[in-house]
Amino acid sequence: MSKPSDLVQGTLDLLLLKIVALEPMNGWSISLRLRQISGDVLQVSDGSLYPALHKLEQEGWITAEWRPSENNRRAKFYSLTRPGRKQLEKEAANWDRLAGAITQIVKLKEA
Amino acid sequence: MRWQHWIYTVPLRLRSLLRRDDVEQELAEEMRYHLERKIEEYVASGMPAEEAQQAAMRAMEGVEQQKEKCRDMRRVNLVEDFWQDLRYGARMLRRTPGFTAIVILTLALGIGANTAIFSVIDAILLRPLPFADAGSLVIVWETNAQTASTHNTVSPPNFLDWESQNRVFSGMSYVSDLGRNLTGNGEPEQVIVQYVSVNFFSVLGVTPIIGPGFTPENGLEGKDSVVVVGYELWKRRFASDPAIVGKTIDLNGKPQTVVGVAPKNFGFFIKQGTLTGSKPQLWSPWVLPAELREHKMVGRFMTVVARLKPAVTAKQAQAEMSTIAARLEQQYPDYDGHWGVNVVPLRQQIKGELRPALLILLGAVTFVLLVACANVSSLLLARAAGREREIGIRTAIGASRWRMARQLLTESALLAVLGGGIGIVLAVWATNVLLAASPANLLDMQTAPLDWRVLTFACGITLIAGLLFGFLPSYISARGAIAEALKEGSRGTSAGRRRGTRRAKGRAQDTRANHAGFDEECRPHRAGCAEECCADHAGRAEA
Repeated sequence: MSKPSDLVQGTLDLLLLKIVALEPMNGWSISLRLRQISGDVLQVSDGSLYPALHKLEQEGWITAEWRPSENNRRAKFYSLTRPGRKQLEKEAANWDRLAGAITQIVKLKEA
Repeated sequence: MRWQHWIYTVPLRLRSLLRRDDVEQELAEEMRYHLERKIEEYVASGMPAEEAQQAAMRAMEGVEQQKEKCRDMRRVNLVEDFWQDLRYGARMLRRTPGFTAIVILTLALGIGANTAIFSVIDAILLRPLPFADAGSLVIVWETNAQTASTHNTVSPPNFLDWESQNRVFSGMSYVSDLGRNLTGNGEPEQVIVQYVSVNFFSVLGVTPIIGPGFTPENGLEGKDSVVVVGYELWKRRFASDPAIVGKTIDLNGKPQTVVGVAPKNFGFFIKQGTLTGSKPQLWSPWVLPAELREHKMVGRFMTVVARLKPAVTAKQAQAEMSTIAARLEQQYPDYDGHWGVNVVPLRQQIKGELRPALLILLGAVTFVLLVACANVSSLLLARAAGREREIGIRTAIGASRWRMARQLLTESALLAVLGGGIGIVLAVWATNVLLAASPANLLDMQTAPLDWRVLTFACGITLIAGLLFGFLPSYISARGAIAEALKEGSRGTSAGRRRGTRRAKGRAQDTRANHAGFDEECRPHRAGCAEECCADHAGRAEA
């Protein structure tokens, strides 16, 4: 089974929070959006998406609602909550720090 | 900030627990929606329908596994495990009814005895007396040197002399009780009336909750046909009628005007001094008739309560009253010869003689409970030895020690709660027996009510008992039972038993093999089910 091994640990949460922050979405649309924005760089399997979404929901960062989807069938739409927005800011800041630090290291000139 | 969090998470947790079917259905629907969209996508790209379906399932990496992971996110495993343990524990207890009955009965006796003694202690020692400044109230008895009586009721003429001659009491009141027929307003009934001096309520420092109570005028002959109704009687017979004051009730056919309702919990009941031996329900003033005022052959039948003047001690009062008694003895040698006075603080009268006895009793029943716990603990331990295989098997297929200890503790807790429940019922019965048998002075205490303090106490000792007798067996069984249990027939006593174990083990291995695929991520819940099944088989095979 392929875990989202290409993702740095914890960044899936950040991605999902960011995606639902843009607009409320159901799981299927989220998977499309993930594929679309990250191309093949970030491998998020369909399988690992739902446990991740349910975890965020149980943390209280996103909240779910059933309503008609694009093709008029009932689907579970996730949207960001206020604690979720705080969490997103925190994780985005963390990511910046981490990415910045790694970039610095990678750019070091070899002697 | 946390509360914002809870707004979202608390309803989710509750829903996961209470509306499990709905949550499951939604989970299935969410997955189905995703799969269908995926299949549509594949079909649109030109894939045959059947192939598209398989591809979609593959992309999901096992729908059931993903669902299981989603369930893991719900964070209610602890609660679900607890339910599972409880159900499993109940099944284990049902399977050994003799053992269960003995344990529960042992605990019920221990907990019941403690609760009964505590409720008496609570009622007698801990609850405040229903009087103002009860510390300055005393009971005044007569004593007789010839009969060695120290707590004799008082004669009316002596009371009158005490009252007029003493300088230590701010007020003295007499009390005498009689049974009367209460008629009117429904069924006639026998009630206990305390006939008291008109200053009774003011000496005790109690005012009625409704109505003026007795006025000095009620102490005059012909004006004394008034009553103060006790709270319980008012509530029961008069339906808490707020307009009861001014109405008349009939006692032995004589109309009496109601002038007040006594406060809740008010009562004055010194059992040693009563004629009826029952607690009073009504109070009425009693003017001593002329023939009772003379030092002739008048009986001694009144209980006397008095309030010490400020800064006067009971000892000083005793000295003064002894002087008066000596004087009366000289004055009326026929009537008062050998009679003296005994001043007893009210608190001491009610609690004094009981206190050491009650504390010793409490100590004794505490030991009874400890012995009960020790017995139950060793019974559980003996049974745990017989269950080592079951525990071994469950540990082998993935239950942690902590999980096993929790399971066994849950069983102990179940036993404790059952024992405690029956114990409380026993306690209610025992308390009433205790109080009925008590020769002591109980203030307003025919029955000790089972109040929240007593219930808290009972629940507390139940919990402590459960932990006490459950801890050691759980600890010992959960710790490394596996090695011995799986050693071939190490503890088995009969061939049948050994065969059973082997069969059970075989099944456990099969089960394990079947589940090996998802064992690694196997959630405790799933593992729990498997263990439970195996353990069940094991149990049945052994039985």
